[in-house]
Amino acid sequence: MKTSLLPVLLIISLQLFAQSSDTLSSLYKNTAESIIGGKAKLGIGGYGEVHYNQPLKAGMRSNGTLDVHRIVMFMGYNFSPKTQFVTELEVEYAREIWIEQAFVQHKILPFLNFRAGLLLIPMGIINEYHEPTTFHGVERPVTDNRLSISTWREVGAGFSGNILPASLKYQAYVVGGLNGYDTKGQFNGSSGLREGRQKGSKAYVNTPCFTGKLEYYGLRNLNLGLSGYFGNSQSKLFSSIHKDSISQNLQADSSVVKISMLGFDTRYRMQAFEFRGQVYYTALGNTLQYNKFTSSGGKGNDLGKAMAGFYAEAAFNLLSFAGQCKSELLPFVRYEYMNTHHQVDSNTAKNDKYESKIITTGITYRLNRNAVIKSDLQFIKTAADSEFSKTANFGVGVMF
Amino acid sequence: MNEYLKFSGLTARLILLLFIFTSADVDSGVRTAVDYNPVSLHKEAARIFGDEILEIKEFPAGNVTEGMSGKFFTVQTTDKVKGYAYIGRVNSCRAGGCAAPRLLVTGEESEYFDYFTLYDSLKSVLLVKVYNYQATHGQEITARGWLRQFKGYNGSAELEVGRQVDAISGATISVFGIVEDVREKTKLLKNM
Repeated sequence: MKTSLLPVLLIISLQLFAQSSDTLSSLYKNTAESIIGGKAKLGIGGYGEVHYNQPLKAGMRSNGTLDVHRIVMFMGYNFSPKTQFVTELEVEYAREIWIEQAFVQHKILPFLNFRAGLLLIPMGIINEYHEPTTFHGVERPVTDNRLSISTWREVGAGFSGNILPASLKYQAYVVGGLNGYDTKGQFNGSSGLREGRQKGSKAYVNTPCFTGKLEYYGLRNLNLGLSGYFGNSQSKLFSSIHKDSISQNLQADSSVVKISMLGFDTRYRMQAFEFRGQVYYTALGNTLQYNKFTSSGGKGNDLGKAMAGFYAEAAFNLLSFAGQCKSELLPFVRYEYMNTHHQVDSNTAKNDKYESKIITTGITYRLNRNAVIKSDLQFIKTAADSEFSKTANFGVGVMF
Repeated sequence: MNEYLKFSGLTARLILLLFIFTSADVDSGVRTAVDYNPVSLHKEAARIFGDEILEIKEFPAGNVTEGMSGKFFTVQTTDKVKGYAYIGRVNSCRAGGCAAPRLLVTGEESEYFDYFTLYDSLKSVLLVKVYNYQATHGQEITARGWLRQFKGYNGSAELEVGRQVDAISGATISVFGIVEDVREKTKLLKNM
C-alpha cells in the first residue's frame, strides 16, 4: 500500500515545487507585503451570522436564544494559475472550532480539475452555497439540516469541471463515509444520518463512498442540479477482526447501513422574482438488522428505510421598481415537507413525529450584496401535532 | 474486508498515471494566457457579418489597453470596417463560493473567464460570448439566453444588475464581473 502511494506523493511534490519556483521573487515577502505589492496570492474573506430565535406559545413564557451561530474565515492561496489551496475555518456557537473546507485544486485540462482534501458533499443547494447572504430565512431550511445534513463535508478526492459547449458542470468525488456505529449506533429515526458526520476530524474508514453532482445551466437564469451520494456507513467493528471469522464479520455487517441518496434542485431568478426548490430521497438498506443490532434497553432502534423531503421557496424584491435603490427588500415564503420515516422496516412502527410540515415566511433585507438583515416566522407541525408551533427568528448575516 | 485500502491503492495508481500525463502536457493543457484568436469568434463573426469578413485585426487602441487584460479589434473586409470586437479576461469567484467580492486581482488568479463582445460599426453590442470558463462557480453566466441581455447596449443607457440585467443566484461575482467589464469596455471603445 505504502509503496504504491510513495511515487504519487513524489510526483505531486515535484509538481508543487516546479510551480513554486517561478514565484521565487515573492519568497522573502510576508503576506501583508505581497498584498500591498500588488502581487497578492493570498485571498482572505469570510462570512458570519448572528441569530435570535424566540419560540412563541400562546399563554406561555419561553426563553429565546441569542447565538453567534457561525463566523467563518476564508483563506485561499494561488500557487499558480493552475494550483490553489482553499480553506474555511469556522467557529460555531462562538466556541466550537471546525474546518469547513480545506482542499487543493489543480487544473489538469480546461474542463478537468483535480481536488483533494476536506470537501463539501455536493448534495442540494445549501450545502455548497451556505453563506447567509445567499439564502432566505434566518436558519437554513430544515430539510437541508436533516436530509442533506448541511454542512456535510468529508475528506476525499475527485474531479470537477465545466463542459461549456453543453452547459454542464460536474463534480465526482470519493469520500470518507458516515460513522454509523462506533460504540453505539449513530443513526436513528429522529435525526436520520446527521450524527454520523465525521467532518474530517480523525475520521475512520473501511469502505469508500461516492458522491457527485451534475448541473445544467444552459437556459437563461435557470440552474438545474442532480446530486447523489452512495456507499455504506462505516463501523468501528471492522477494526481488528479476522478476515475469516464468520461470526465477527456477521456482527460487524449488522452495524452497517447502505445509503443511497438522490437530490434534485433548481434555482430560478427573473428580474425581481426568485424561486428555488429541492427534492431529496434517501433509501437505506439493512435497517432491519441495524435497528435490531443498535437497540438499547430492549427497545429496537427506529431508523427509517427511506427518508424523503422537499421544499419550494419564492421571493420577490419590492425595491426592484424603486429607482436607483441598490438594496433589496424581499418578502419570501417557503414550504417544506420532510419525513424521516417515509418507509420503515417490518420491525419498526411509523412515528408521526418524524413527518413534518414547515412553513417559513419573512423578509430578507439585503442592505447590499454582502450584508443582510433577516426576520421570519417559522411554523412547524408534525403529523402527531394538532397545531403549528411557532418561532420568531431574527438575524444578521455578512460575507466579504 | 478493507475495501477502502484496496480502492485507494487503485486510485493512487490512477492519479499517478494522470499526473505523469499532465506533467508531460504542462503547456498545452490549461491555457493560462488569454487566447486572442478563439475559433468561436471567427465563427460568430462570419455568422453575423457574412462570409466576406476577412480580417479581425488588433485595434490600435494606444495607451488605454495598458494594464488591461484584454484587447480591441476591428472586424473588417479588405477595405471596410464592419464592426469591432473586444476579447478579454474577467477575474471571477473564489473556489470556496461565489458570493464574495473579488479577492485577488493579480496575474495569478485561478478563477477567471475569457469572453468576447462583437460590436456593429456604430459600436453597439451585437453579441457577448464566454468561450473559456475557469472559475469554480457562477457558470450560469455562460448561458446564451442570459448573455443576450447585452444586445443593443452602446454605453449611453444604464446597465445595472437587477435592473437591465438579471441577477443569478449563486453567480453573483461572475454576473457583476461581466456586467462591469462590458460596461467599461464599451465606454472605452466609444471614446476611441
